[in-house]
Amino acid sequence: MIEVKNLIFEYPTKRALHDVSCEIKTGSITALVGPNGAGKTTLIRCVVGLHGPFSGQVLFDGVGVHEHPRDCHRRMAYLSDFFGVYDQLTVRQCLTYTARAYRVSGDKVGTVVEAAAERLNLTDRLREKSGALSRGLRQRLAIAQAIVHEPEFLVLDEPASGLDPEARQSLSMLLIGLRDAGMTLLVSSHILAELEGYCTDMLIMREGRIIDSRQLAGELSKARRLRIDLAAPNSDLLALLENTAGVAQASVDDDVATLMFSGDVAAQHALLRHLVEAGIPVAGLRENRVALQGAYIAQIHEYDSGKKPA
Amino acid sequence: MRGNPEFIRNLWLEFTLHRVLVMPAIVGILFLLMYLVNGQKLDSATAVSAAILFCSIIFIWGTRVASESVIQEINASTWDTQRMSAMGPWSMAWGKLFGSTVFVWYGGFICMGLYWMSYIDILPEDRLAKLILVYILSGVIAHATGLLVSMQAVQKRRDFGRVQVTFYLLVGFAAALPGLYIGLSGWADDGVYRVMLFYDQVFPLIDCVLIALVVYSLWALIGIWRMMRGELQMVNGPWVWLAFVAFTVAAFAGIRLLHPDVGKAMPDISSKAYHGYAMLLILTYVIALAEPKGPVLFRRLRRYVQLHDWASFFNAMPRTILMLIFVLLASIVLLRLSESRITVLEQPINFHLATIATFLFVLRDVGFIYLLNISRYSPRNDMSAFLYLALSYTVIPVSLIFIGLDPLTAMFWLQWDSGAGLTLGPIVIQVLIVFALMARAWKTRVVRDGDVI
Repeated sequence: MIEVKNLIFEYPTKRALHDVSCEIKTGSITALVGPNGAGKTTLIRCVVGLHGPFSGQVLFDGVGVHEHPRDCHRRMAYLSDFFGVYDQLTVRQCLTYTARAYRVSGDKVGTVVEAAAERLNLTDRLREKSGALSRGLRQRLAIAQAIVHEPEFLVLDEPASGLDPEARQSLSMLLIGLRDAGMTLLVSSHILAELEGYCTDMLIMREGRIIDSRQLAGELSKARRLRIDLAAPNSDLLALLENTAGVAQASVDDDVATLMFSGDVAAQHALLRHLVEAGIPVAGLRENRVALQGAYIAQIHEYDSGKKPA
Repeated sequence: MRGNPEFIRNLWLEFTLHRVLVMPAIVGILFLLMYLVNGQKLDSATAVSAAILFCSIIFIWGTRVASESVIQEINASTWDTQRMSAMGPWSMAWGKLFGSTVFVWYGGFICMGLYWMSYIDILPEDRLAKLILVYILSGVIAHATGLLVSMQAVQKRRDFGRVQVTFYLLVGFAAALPGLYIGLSGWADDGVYRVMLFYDQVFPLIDCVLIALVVYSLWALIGIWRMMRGELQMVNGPWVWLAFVAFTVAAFAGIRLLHPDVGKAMPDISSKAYHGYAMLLILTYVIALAEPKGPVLFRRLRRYVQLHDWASFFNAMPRTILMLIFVLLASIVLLRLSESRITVLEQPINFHLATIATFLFVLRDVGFIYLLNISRYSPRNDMSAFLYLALSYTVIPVSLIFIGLDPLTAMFWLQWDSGAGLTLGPIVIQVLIVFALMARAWKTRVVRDGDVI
């Protein structure tokens, strides 16, 4: 869906993006991670056409974002980390204005406003002034504004910052819901544990470069990373896993094996039974929740120690 | 208008029931007081008070809100949402210009209604209508210029305070002032239209002012539209600016402003050319100070040259460079049209040398503005350059005269009747110094930094 080709962006005193190339697949939720100052926000602003690059290209379904910004903007949305809403307008007016600004036809405006409000649990707040809303509700309103025209591509820069744990949980559920509804998402965040809950792909940035680009799970996150603890090392395990349906990226390191598993809970039970019946000394089987953070830290260390970026 | 989301949003914001009621109440009370003080008569005194109310509301309040209309979006972090929307630059331009000021126009039209009531039994209707049009169109010019200047500033900086907004307000007001002043004084005491010469034809002054106000309101709106296009990352070629320059130079060339002695001393065509030339110089300084011109732009231009991408180069090239080319060509035309020496008010002028020196002064000043912008990064570079240049034309040479070093003023002022050495020598040296410094800054900030960072 999005192709970034050799993007270079310069501020007057600094080159912020160095020949960045990457791809964002349709239907994915891509995590854009990296330390402060890595260039995440600059990349995002170039991708959505708010910054004109020094050189390079961003293509949205083959259409140049900087050559045809308005054509692309109709089909995408962006929520900045420092978003604002119109405090003097009601929630309904904010959503109606945004729908009209995105050229939603007049007879459909009411419907899309109601739908966006319902999706963000704002239906009972439609008459309230947005300036009177709490931080979490303002965040929901801002997201509702971003999705009111049903964009195909949604970009969120640090969407969870400033939210309490409950609001973060509901944000995660919302993003998964949007993905399931057919949107492609690019999410920049520092909170890796939360990204892990819903992201399918990851881009790691450091010093204005993409140092790693990887799919976190097969079949766009229907797969989960599983960890198998063994009572004793077993030389047959790797071959067995590689020949098992639904298993990918299997690796065995001494008495621990990790793999991507695309089956549901029943299939996971069948896998466990299959391993035990095959004589594998399984001591435990659990979902590995540290994949994103681990991959991120490993890549950052690898880059910092001077190895060639991926 | 119904379909413009930006205009509708402003209507929601501006027209609350409370405000709709308060505006006529306050204006009405103030006008009633004046009416009572005036012995319950409607005449020029009440008309003037209505006009003062109009000017306060439209020129002070209105120009401020117009100037702030984009700045407030930036400060409130809502500007990106608008830039990402599907609204076109034209919708955004007029939606902001007339939307942000819709409430002050509500008050302004009430004032003009009272103005009409005060004068209707005193002035002929057509004259009264034209006076009201002068007020209204001057207001549009002030608002449009304030918004235009603030949007020009948005290209260079994203942090704004009261000082900046007050500056944009003053620029807007200054843009409206000539039209307002000439328009309101467009009649002689006996009520007859004053006239003016335009390309040697006689026209009623008031009609010329009204036409100029309409045309320059449209130009300002076109300017805002171009700025909006830039904010939406659309490519803006130089054609609209060049069309504006051509129009303005041609318009001012037709106005008879020069002292009659100058007219006698020159063939008629060269007097018109000199008017146009003076306007060309003013516009060159305006664009040189206004447009963005940091090292990143020049690195980008250098890259276009390396890629032989001449279309992109032409679109991104600073308009100032084109203006300098036009100033050079216009200087050559002036030299060919004019006598070598003329006398104005008994002051002999070496016209050819002065024209060459004028071009060199422009070259030095523009070079200095660019030198500051290439050498260092600061959103205040252009203001600093303006102040330095203002000092170089005023305080420094005047100080030199006071301390008895009159000959040194040749470095700062155009010499009207000196020899080639004194007229051209000092300015040639300054041009060489400025361009040598620019070449050094270019090597470090554009070439070296562009290759390294």
